[in-house]
Amino acid sequence: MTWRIASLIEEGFANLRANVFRSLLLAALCAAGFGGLAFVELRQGTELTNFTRDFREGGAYVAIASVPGAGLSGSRCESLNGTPGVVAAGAWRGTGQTTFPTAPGVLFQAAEVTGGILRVWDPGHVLGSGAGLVGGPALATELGLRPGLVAQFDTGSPVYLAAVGQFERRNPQAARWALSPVSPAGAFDECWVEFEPGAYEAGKDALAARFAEGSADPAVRPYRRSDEFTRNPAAEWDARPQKWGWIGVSAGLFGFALTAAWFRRSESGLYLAMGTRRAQLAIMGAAEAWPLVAAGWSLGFSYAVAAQVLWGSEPTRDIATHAAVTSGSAALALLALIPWASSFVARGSIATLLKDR
Amino acid sequence: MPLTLRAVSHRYAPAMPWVVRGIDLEIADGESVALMGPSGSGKTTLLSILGLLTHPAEGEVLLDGAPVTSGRGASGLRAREFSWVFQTANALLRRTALENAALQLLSRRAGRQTAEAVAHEELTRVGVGHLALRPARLLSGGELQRVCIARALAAAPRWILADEPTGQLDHATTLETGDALIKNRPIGTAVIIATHDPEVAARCERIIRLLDGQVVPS
Repeated sequence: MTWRIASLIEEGFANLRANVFRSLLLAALCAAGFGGLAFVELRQGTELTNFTRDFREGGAYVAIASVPGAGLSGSRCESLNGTPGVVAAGAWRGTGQTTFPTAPGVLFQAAEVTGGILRVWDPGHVLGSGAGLVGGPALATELGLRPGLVAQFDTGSPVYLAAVGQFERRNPQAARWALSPVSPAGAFDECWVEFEPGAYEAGKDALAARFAEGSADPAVRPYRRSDEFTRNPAAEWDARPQKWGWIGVSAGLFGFALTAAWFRRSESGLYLAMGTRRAQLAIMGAAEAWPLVAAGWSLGFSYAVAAQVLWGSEPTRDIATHAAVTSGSAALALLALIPWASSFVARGSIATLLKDR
Repeated sequence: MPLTLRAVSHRYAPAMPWVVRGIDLEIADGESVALMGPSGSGKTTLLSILGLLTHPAEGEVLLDGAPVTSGRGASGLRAREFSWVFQTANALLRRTALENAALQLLSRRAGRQTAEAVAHEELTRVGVGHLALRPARLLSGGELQRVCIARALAAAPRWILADEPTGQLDHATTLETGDALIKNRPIGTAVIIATHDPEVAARCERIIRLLDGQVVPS
């Protein structure tokens, strides 16, 4: 029987404390390796997340149905709301141009809309579908209007301005429109539908059939042309080179551990000469290296997140988890390998090892 | 005899020449033996074989009449029964003298407190007790060698093997170190020293002379 387990662990800790420079260097290299890997993951993940969000907010999954020369059913369009795969749907119809006494001679487009289309054109804002006008941002600016004020058309009675929509991304031409929410009954010019990303292609294809029942020759077009975005974020994420970076990082750090063990092989020889087994050397090595690897990972990952935040955008929980898993895989691989560094290097006769100083 | 070599020969690779050839040797418990011979005569290899660090290419090593095999059995015996003192004063240079002196006892399952108490006594006995808390890298060659001797003595092993322990020391320190190792050893502990120094060898009960890997008949 040799060494107590507790003595081996104490011995490992004592070697960690005694070799301050080497310990700090290993922890720093671990922090740099794991942190660098995490940072690259965070950067690319956040960039792709932002791109995907912009892609979606830009109307990538919005389709527009219309029947040239005729109209389509507003009720049928609104009834798409609540259908699986549909985020929002609504219709609009133009009611001609109008002017306001406060801006004589300036023409604005008047339109009637169903409630759903405001959710398509201005996602994230509840514009309401009750009484009251919804103005485009340019209209509100030019007329000096804000929600709660009353607008007076040249023709007709004064109307309460319920909201100002932000339509730049989904329908910039509506910036100068005066929108009157109405019941979906009757015919409308267009039906706009936003789908969930996974349901977009099938939903778009089914849209024409939905309106074909009541209208002749419905046309469906995407809001964004298919060639407008040439990137495929999912494919890019799946093909990211750093996905396998944990192997390279752990191998590199293990290489450093082997080099350090090479310069300490007379120490290993000394332990072996006293009857220490290689498995016991590994326990000692684990006690010495594991705290450093763990500290290096914690430090590196924290710095990577902080750097990403300072860079300008906070990573989502999903991306942070991906970065933690990738860099954590490297750390786990190193935790498994590093205790064996001394045994791996301390080969051959013990007498020879003892002379290698 | 407790430690016996039977027809032991060794070379480090099949294509290399034999370093020791056909050696038969017996060492008794508590004996002090000097291995002498010119450089390259096979002293260190023979010592490695006696101390179970090297398994001979031919022949066998017997401990208390039982053959010793390489592997875990040998490492267990090394831990339990053998202590080493090397020419180059192998030590953990960043650890203190006390920690170094306690190592061999720890490897024999002693608790740290006990090991360090015994190690401190041995350091004091070999004259470096006042340096117990000094890192080994800050000790002189003679001081460090005494720490290594204290490490070997602390475990009260059955066998102490010393490979030219005074090879790098001045004359006065050589004699002090030789005395520390040979005269301070516990009762029942055998010491086998490979040395060039006739004064150190003269302190031993028996001298075995080697030439070209063979024992020279006395």
